[in-house]
Amino acid sequence: MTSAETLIEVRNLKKYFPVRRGFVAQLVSREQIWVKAVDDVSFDIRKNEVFVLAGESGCGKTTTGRVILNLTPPSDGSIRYGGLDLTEITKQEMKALRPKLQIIFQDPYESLNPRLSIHDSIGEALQVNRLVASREDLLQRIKMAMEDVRLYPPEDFIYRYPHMLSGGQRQRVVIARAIVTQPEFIVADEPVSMLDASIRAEILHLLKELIKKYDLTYLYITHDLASARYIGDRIAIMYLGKIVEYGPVGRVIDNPKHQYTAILVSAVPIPDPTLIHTRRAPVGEVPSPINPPPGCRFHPRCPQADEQCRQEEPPFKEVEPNHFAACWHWFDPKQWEDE
Amino acid sequence: MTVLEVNHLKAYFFLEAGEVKAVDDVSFSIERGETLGLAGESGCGKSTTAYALLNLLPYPGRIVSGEVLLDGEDLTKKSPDEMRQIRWDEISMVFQGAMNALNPVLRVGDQIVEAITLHEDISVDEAYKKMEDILEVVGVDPTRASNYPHEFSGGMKQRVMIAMALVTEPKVLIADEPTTALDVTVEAQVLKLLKSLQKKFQLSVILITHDLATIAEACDRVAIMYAGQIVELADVVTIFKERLHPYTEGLIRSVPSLLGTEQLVHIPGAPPGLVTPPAGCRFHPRCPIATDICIQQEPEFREIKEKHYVACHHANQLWGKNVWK
Repeated sequence: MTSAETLIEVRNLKKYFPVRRGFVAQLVSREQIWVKAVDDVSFDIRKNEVFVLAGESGCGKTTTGRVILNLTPPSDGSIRYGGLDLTEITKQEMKALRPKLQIIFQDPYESLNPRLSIHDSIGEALQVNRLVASREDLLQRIKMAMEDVRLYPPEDFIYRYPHMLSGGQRQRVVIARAIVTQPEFIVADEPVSMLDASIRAEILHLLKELIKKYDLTYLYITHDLASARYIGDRIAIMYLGKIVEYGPVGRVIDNPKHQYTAILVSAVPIPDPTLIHTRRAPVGEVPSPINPPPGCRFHPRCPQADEQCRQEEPPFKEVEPNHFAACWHWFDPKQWEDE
Repeated sequence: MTVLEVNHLKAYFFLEAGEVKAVDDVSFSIERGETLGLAGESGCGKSTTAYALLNLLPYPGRIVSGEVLLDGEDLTKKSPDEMRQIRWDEISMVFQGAMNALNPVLRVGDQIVEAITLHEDISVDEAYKKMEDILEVVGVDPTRASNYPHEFSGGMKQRVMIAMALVTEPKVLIADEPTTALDVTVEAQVLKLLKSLQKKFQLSVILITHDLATIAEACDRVAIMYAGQIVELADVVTIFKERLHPYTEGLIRSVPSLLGTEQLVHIPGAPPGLVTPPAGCRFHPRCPIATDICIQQEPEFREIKEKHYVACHHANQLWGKNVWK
């Protein structure tokens, strides 16, 4: 795709974490063991889109988000942003870029310092990065951000502390803190999963609205495919450190081609009791990312797996325009018909 | 056949700041083999209701009035010793984050055996046999009984907890957010298991959750709670297709569906404090159609159609209307 401008380009990204072992185990074998949290992941994020990274716990989606923001260095691969490779630049250069790259965390109860007032929580990033000239300027910028996330009127909230706010209001403070530096790109890591349903919709709408207002681009990390469909433009499904399928969010969910995606989609509960559908689940459990299975990583749990799946890693193939899946045996709804 | 009947239950927490009316005049019943969903936002009193049913309210909470009739016997009148026997034998529970409730230094099998021997007069060998059988039923390999909890995944631990809750063959199981911390594929497995066990044991289940999609999948009837009260109670299809309370309407319209959704609704404001809840209808400050009567008079929880109960002054005018725009 060349029609839209690419903002972030991720290539062959890997993040391995060393496994710390006991003294005796180290004597027995010197070989270092690694957890392959993210194992060769590539994708592009286009300007002003919501790119969703979805998968179950432990699939590496959060680690991918953190690595992209250089919060933890990758083991291998490149992340290109604005003509720079974030894996190669110096600390000073990275520091200068920080205001442009922000993150929103999952738990608004834990991501705000309880001892800082709302003013200080939101203002910190501006002060640390020397983005404001005076105290008045600082106050002005904080108030503007608060209005943009509808903490209104700001005077009512600005000198309060997190414990005096509801969950939804806290999450809005977290969002205000992210947008106050006028970022270009935000990693939103499960921003609504801790919130009640009635508040969730409001935060999703707010995130969408800010795209236009702030000329934003999101990497939206979630395990919830329903909210992904609501907010996302494109989606990538991760399993055990790898992307297995990606494309326009509606197409991937309506017409999944990887066997794993198909099962994952079927497992999602649907808020309509008149709709009869079978929730499926893959057999067994996710294998350890220390020794991931050879070939296709999903093969030990896949109903269609054969010899090829066990030995050869499937390449990405274009299923339909802009929709790619890495599976030797594309999913066909007929598979489930006779059950 | 009605197994459990709750009449005008009130459970308050007595704090220095005042009485927190966490459960305020709640009535419902549950039939044999049925699943009743208890849904609502955090702080609406759904978990407190569960604790009150089991007579397990933590200090400074207690049941103020009302009855909890299990096969006609009022549990609120039982002594702590009697209750200890009834819990697990007759009415059992799986709590939120229950998988972390396993003792980390005891083998999983031993923990189940302990529960059996406390409640049944059988030999240790028989208890071990029974433990292995129940593990088999919930889909855990009995050879893993000698493993410790940390050797199990979250879904497996949740299965063990369900095994433990069901090993004494209770009549009622209270499941408080049993799948909230689990991935959807694991959740699907656990709920499927629960459903098959329910058939097998003719078990009545009270499923407490904030997740309406799970409610739609797993429940026969649904009670929607708001600020300590049930505002609407009906069978699951009625709740999703012909609901009458504006709060139920807003709540259901706020949930995105995997199949794609029209514009989602959000309910403005936040649930009220329960020390001095709003006068009249407790939902009136957030309700788009509230009128004077809603502010002045508490709506009666009434049967508006057969087995469809609503507490709203305007319920009659709400057929098929979306009051949230």
